Amino acid sequence: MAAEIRLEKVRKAFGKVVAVKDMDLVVEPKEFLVLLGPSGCGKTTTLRCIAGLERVDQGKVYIGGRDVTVLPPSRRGIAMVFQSYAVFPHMTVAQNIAFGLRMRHTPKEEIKKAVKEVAELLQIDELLKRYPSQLSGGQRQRVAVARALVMRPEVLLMDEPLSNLDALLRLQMRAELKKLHREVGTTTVYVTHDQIEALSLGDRIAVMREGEIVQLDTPNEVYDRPATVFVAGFIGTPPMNFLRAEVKGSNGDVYLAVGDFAVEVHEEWREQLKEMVGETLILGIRAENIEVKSTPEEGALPAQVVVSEPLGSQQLLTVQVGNDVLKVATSPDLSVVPGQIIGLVLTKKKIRLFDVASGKALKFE
Amino acid sequence: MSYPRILRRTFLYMSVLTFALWVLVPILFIGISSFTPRNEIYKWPKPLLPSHFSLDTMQFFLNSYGVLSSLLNSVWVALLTLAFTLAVGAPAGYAVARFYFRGREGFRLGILVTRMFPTALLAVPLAVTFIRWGLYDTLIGVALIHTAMALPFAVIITTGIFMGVPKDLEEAAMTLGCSRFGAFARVALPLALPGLAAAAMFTFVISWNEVFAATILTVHNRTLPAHILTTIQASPLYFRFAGGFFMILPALFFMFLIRRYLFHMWGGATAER
Ligand SMILES: Nc1ncnc2c1ncn2[C@@H]1O[C@H](COP(=O)(O)OP(=O)(O)O)[C@@H](O)[C@H]1O
Ligand SMILES: [Mg+2]
Repeated sequence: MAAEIRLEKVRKAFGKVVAVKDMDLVVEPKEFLVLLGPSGCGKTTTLRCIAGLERVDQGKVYIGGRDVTVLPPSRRGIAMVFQSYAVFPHMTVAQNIAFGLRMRHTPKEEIKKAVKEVAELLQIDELLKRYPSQLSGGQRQRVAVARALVMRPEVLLMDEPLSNLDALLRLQMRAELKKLHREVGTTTVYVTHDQIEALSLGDRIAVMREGEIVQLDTPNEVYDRPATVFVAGFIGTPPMNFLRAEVKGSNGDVYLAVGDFAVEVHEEWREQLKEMVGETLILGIRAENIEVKSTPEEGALPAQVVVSEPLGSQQLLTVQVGNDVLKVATSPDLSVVPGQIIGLVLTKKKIRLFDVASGKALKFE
Repeated sequence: MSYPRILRRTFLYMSVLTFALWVLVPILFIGISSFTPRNEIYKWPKPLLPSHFSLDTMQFFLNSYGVLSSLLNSVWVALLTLAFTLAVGAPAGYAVARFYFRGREGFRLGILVTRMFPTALLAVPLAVTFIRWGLYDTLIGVALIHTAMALPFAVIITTGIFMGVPKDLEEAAMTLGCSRFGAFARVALPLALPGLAAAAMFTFVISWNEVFAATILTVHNRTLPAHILTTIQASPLYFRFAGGFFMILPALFFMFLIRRYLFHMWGGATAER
C-alpha cells in the first residue's frame, strides 16, 4: 500500500518568486519524512506539487513508480490534511469522512464500516452526527486526519496539521500521529516549521531554505551534524552557539584561537586544519556540550554571565565571549550572578566547524 | 464623553434620522392610503389612520384595465432577468474570486463603470437596435436590458460570496476524488447557496423596479412600472397610491431578507450557516 515518492528537478515559481528550486527528493515507502523550514521557504508548495494542487513548471513527480506529473489530485493515490483542516462545514462528521469513499463509489455497507473503524481509531466515534461548527479545533483536526486515512492512501500529506492547536493538545496529538503512522504505515510527508515536531516525528528530516533542501538526514544526524550554519541555527532549543575562531599553528601543532584563548581540536582534524592556518572559521557548539566552571580556570574559555534562566530541569545561561553571545545549559544547582566571570569547557568531539563564506560545515575525512 | 464627541454623535444621529424619515414617511403614507377606503382619501384634514382597514383601493387597482397583464409581464421579465443574470454573473463572480488573471482588478472596476452610462443616453440607439433585431416590445428584450443593469451588482455580490468559501475546501474535495467541477458543485455551490439566493432576490428587485428602459422599449407588452408610469397622469389618486404600494412590496420584502448580504457586498461576504 505504501508507495515511494520521487521528485526529479521539480521547479515551481509564482511570478518572480521561485518557491521550489529544482528539487530532487526520494521518500521511501512507509517513511515518515518531515519537510522543515522557516515560513515562506516553499514547504507547502512542495507538498502541493506532490498532491497535484500545483502544476509544476519543470521536473517530474513519481508516486509508486508511476509518473503523476500531469495527473489531477484525484488520480494520484494521495490524501491530504490541510493546515486549516478544510473540513466541509455543510456535512456531518460522518459525511465528511465518507466523502472520499462515496466519490469512489464504494458500496454503502463498506463505507459505513470503514467510517466507523477510522472514527474509533481517532476516537471521534461519538461525534459522527455532529456538524463541524459543533466541534473544537482538536476534534476538527481528528476529523481531517480520519477523512484522509479512510481513503487508505498510498501517500499521506500533512501541512502543519498541529499548528492551530494549543500547546498541550499539540504535544498529545504529536504522539498520537506518530503512533498512527506506526499502525497504518503509509508513506507520509509532513510539513512543519516547528523543529521540535520535526525531531520527534520524522524518520528523516528535509531542512529547507528558499526553495531548496539544505540537508536531508535522520533527526539525530541533523541535530548533531548540521550541514550548514543555517541548519545549526534553526534546529535545537536553544539553537547551536557560534564563535569566531582563527586557525593557528605553532611548532607542528594546530589549534583554534577564540580571542586569546586556544581551543584544542580533535586529533583527527589536525592534518586537515594544518593546511588552513590563518583562516577564520565559525565554531559551532550546542548549549549542552559546554561544561561550566564557576571560576575561570586553566583550559576553560573565560566568559561573562549576562542572564541566568532557571528552567526547572536545567539552568540556561546567556554568556558573552568577546563579541559573541552564547547559550549554555548547566545544572540548576550552580549559582552564578550576572556579571560574574565563569569558565567554559567545550566538549572537543561535539565541536562543529563551518566555512565563513559558504556557511557549510567542514568535512573531515 | 467629551463635548465635541457628543456633538459629533448628535449630528450623526440627526442625519440618520433625517434620511430614515425621508425614505420612510412617504412609504408610510402610501401604505396607509392604499388600505384606506377610496372616498376617505380626499378628506381634509387627513386622519392619521384610516377609519377602517379596507382592501377596496387595492381591489380597484388590481381590477383596473391592463394592471393584471402588466403585472404578469413584470413577473416574467424579472424571472428571465434573474435566470440570465445568474447564468452569467455567478460564473463570472466565481472566476474573479478564485482565479488570478491579468487585468482582474481592472475587470472588477470596469464592471462598475458600465453603470456610469445613464440609460437615457442609450435610449434611442437601444430602441433602434431592438427594432432592427426584432426585440422591440418583447419581454425578452426588456429582460436583456435588465440583465445588463443587474449584472454588475450580481458579479460583485457573487464574488464576495465565493471569496467567503475557502479555497481549501474545494482543494480538499479534489484530493478526495472530485474533479475541479465536482468540487465546485459539491462543496462551493452548496456553501454559496444562501448568498446566491440573496443575489437572486436583489436581481429580481432591480428588474421589478426598473421603469425607464421598460417604458421606452415596449408599447403593448408593458411591465407594471411602465404601465403605471404611462397611465398615472390620467389616474385617480387612489390608483396611484395602490400602484405605488404594490411596487414597493417585493422590494421591501426581499431587501429585508437579504440585508445581511448587502452590508457585506464589498467585503468577503461569507455564506455563514
Ligand atoms: N499562490 C501563490 N501565489 C504567489 N506566491 C505564492 C503562492 N503560494 C506561495 N507563494 C510564495 O512562494 C513562497 C513559498 O511559499 P510556501 O510554499 O507557502 O511556504 P511555506 O509553506 O514554507 O511557508 C513564498 O514566498 C510565497 O509567498
Ligand atoms: Mg506553509
